[in-house]
Amino acid sequence: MIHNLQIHKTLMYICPMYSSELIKGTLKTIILKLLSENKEMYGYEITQKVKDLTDNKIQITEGALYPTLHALENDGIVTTEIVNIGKRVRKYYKLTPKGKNSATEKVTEFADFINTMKFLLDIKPQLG
Amino acid sequence: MYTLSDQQIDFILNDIKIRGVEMEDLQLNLLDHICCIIECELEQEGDFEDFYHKTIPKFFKKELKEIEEETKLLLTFKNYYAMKKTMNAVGIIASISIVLGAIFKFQHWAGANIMMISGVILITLVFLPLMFTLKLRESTEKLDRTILILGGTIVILIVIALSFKLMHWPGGNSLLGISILSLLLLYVPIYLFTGLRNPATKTNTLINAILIIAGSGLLMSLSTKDSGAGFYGFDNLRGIHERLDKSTDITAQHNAFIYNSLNTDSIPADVKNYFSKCAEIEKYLEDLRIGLIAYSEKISDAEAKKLNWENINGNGSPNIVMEYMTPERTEELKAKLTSLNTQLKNLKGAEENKWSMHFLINHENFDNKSYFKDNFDHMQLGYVLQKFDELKYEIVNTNSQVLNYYSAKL
Repeated sequence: MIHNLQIHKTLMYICPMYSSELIKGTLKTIILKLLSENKEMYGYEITQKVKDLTDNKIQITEGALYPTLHALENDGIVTTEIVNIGKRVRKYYKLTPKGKNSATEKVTEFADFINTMKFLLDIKPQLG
Repeated sequence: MYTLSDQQIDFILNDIKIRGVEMEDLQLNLLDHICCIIECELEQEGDFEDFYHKTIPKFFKKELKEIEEETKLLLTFKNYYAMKKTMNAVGIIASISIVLGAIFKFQHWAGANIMMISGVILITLVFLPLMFTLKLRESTEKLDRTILILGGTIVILIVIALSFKLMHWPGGNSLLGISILSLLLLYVPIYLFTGLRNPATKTNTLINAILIIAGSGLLMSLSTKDSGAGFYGFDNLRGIHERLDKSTDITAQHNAFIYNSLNTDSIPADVKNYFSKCAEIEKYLEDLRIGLIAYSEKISDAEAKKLNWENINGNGSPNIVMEYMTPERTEELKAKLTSLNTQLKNLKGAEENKWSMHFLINHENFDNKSYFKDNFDHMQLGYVLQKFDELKYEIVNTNSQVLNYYSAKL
């Protein structure tokens, strides 16, 4: 079951530039980091922000974003606030205190991971 | 920038529902997301329907429902770990408590029952349901799930029935019988039917089925009647009691005859005192016996007095004997017997004739704890009644020796 889940999640992650394998497991980190820098965000805003920041290199799909947001809410990492926009409602996501810690941890962990990978793969920093 | 009308928003929401998204939260999220895309990317004069139908396929690979399935999977995935952890922890705690409880029970230490009961409760109400729920999630075939649910229920029933038996609670036998019968007549046939069809599982299925049937047979032997059978069974004791009773009566008559033939004035005061004490204790023992029968058979003392061994049911649980012969009551009995024995040993001639009441005293270990443990702890009614008769016989028999000695001296 776990195996299927991971494959499923990976396939739903559409990303035009990097292989899905590479992006696997970073969605949570991306969302948490964005939420820690912006007070509150809604789903569409998150996808657009990632697209803009990465120059279209990473695109988060709805199929991966919303399940993750729901799981984060269920874990008590984010809270939501519902705002009426005419006929429809918009759900804003915000980090809880627990979520703020978790965001810092995730980013630190990932930075450390990158350093390890740099060392492991012997990547020289590009000058200029 | 396109402006959506209320009808168009309703249309989108409706379409999301039709495409099988049931979670309201997710419906609203998707609705807002699609609306944002349309508003930002569609020109003022653009074709709404055409654009919508081109946009929505970007959300999924086969159908929109995938997003909801993925969400549910992520939510249960988290619970899956929590459930597994809880299951393991509860399983360890429960088995430790049951094993400790069993050791305590063997040693007759306090707290054994509480440990065993809490262990069984944990197993039946937490561990087994969690285990079967987890297993259920892993299997997808309908028949597999049916077998699991059926098996799970029967296993829980068997564990509850066994603990009933262990605690001597009423209903344990019928519960065990029902659960084993349903295991043999319901579960095993279905299990065999499904397992044998698949060549890959054929051998294992057969072995497991044989093990289940053998195990059930062993369990079945546990579910026979509580008493009536076995060494301390009531029926076996009826004959012994009758012979003992007759012998006691004959000796008592003989004793009375000798005592009456003695010159009352010539009998020493301590001997007279001893015999009156004996009469008192015999009366006490008889009251205790009647009281125990009345309590155990749930009848009045007057009714209990009328019962002879043939009419006593005697199938009460050992707990009933323990409830009546409390350690306090046992101690009172012991105190009376000890003082009688002391009186006996102080009589003239006691030492040379080695008068002593062997039965009354459990040899060297005549302390409260072992006296209660050896005679009344978890003992069947028949055994305890026999004990009382043995005590009476012992007193009468010793008195016979005492009287013979004094009748020769005086």
